[in-house]
Amino acid sequence: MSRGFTLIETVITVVLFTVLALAVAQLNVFYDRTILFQKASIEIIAGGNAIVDAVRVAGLQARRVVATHTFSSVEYSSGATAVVFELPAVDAEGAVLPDTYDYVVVDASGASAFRRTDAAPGSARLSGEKRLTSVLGAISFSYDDPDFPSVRSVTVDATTSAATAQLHLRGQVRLRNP
Amino acid sequence: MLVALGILSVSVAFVALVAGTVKSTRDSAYESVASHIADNALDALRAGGYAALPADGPYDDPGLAELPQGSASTSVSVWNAETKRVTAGVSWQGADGGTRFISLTTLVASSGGF
Repeated sequence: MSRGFTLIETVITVVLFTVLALAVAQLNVFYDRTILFQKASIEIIAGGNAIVDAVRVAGLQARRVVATHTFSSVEYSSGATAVVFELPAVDAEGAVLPDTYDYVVVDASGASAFRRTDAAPGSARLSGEKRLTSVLGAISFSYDDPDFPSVRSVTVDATTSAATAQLHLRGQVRLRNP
Repeated sequence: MLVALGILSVSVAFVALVAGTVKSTRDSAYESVASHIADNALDALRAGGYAALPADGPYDDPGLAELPQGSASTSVSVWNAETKRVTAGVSWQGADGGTRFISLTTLVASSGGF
């Protein structure tokens, strides 16, 4: 003799499915949050490294830090939130061009940090702007000498933050070609 | 019952996977901090020159505060008559509780310069 489900069987089944559905939904929420956190963590690591590396690479090649430099009709000034390096220009073979200089600015604007390059004519470097990060929390530059042409060492402190993740990196570079 | 067990198994596997990924990302952040600390140390030693190279021993860096149980040390050995081999190492406690260590090495010659 065939029979249907009793009320108690139906209730238990519905409750079990509800619990399972809630568990799956919770898992999905957890997954989304984790992905966001991981994405933020990767962004802050990449951003922090990009800033410190940009300063280090430019500083290693620089002959000095200059107080200001204007290009593309914008004046950039060295200070607590920006640094302007003057680099000997080099040609495609790597030979230094006499009395010719390129300029590299690392600065911040809002939550973004940029590396801006003003290359002299004939230089192998390319003029342009590159966004280093868009998750900048704070940045500060400090110098071993208040007189910019006399600066021999530049320290950058950069904090990148996104979501609940935060990273603080510090890099110090000594100019190689003063 | 089987469906419930299946979901439970997937959930446990997923949580374990996510936990591993989070630890890896945290370790990656620590490694970035550590590599910059070592890089800064080598830069300072190069700038000081051959004659000023210190003896082996620990050194301090503000970045160590970012690392759990972070510590740093340098070691200097003779490479040849006019060159020394300098290593800056940084260790810290990884996300899984184990000790992590990175080191960077360079040569500093008595003939000077960087």
